[in-house]
Amino acid sequence: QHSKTTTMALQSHHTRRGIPPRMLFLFLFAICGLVGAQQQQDPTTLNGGSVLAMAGDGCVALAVDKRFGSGPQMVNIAPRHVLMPHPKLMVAFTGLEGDIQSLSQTLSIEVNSKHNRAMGFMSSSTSSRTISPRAMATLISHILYGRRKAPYYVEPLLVGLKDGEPFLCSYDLIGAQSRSQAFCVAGVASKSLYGTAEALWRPGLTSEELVQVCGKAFLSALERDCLSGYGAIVYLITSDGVSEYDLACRND
Amino acid sequence: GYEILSRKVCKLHPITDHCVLGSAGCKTDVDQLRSVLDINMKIYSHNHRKPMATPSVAQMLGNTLYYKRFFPYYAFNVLGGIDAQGKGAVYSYDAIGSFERTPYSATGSGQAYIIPLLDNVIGHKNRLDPQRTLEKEEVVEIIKDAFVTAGERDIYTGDSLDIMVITKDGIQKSTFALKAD
Repeated sequence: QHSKTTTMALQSHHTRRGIPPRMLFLFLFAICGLVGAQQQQDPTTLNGGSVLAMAGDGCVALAVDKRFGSGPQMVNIAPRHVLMPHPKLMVAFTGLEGDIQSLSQTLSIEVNSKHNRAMGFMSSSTSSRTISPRAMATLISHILYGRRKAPYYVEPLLVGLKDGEPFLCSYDLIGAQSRSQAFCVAGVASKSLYGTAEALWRPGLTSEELVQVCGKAFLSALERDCLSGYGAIVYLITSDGVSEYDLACRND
Repeated sequence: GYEILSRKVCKLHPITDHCVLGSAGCKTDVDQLRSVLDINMKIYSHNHRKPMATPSVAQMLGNTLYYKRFFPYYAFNVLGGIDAQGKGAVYSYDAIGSFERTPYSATGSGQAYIIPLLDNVIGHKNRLDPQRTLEKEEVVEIIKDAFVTAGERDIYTGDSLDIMVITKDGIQKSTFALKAD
């Protein structure tokens, strides 16, 4: 009887096989690393979109595309968000759509509050004193640089007409201004836009010619970029007001 | 990186009297690729007693690149020549030998600046005026404009432009100065 108990006791004491806990932990960690290690999406190109601004003789044209996507997948076709504080000033935005919405809201509020402080709180926004392009340019720079450590992933483009003189300004995401008397570009197709705009722009364009040249340069560049497209709108600002031209192009 | 090693390196290489290869990318891989092509051209002309026709060169280049599919030549090629019917032929390649005959092509660091311009002017895209055939001199001027444009905006493009015009009579080479900045 005693020997039987001893044998049974010996049998029940078997060596524990299987994966040691440390190895199991490392293995799971590696799997999580592999599954979780996706490529970081680039916020400046995630949503796509491009804009082009060109100056002519006493007029400016601003071309914006209509694609809103999530990487390669198109999500919505709607013209890019353009702010127009008054009929001689427009601001277009490219970059991360969420930051565009935040920034354009902040900008509208700032412009309105400046207007109210200057003109009093009862005057309408279309009164005679309007914000000048240079003041707007500085305002945008300051707002962008205010977020230097956690920037808005937005590259705005400002177009304006001051006393018949065109004013074009593009920015990087932290507010550095880049002014030109010829043209400014922003967005994912900016390289292609630089190529077509540089080749097709010439000084002294009339307003009809400017729309043609701006539209041609914009569409040619857009068709070679997969993250921009689905149509374009060209806004023409002259001393008489703003006209809008809807251009058709490849919808892909 | 940003240093200029030479202002006069020609990126065009005549393969036959009717075919020119232009390459961008890593110069040492480009030189080696040209070497391999030249050797194969010589062997072909010895075996067949005639120079290789342009579509055949195009196929051979594609095959040569794919041969090194798993350790590629860092070379981005454009092949231009006159085909057997006497018409102009342009072939564009990627680094591992995928190729296609196209009406026009550009490659290299200034590619994004030049291709949309060629789309508009040579491909006649996004234009409403009637299309007309372009003369040889006109096309050379368009190419010069395209490179001036690319030279303005691309830091790596500039100094000098080599143009080779290929006709059934042979290759005419000319040089055009670009901004040295």
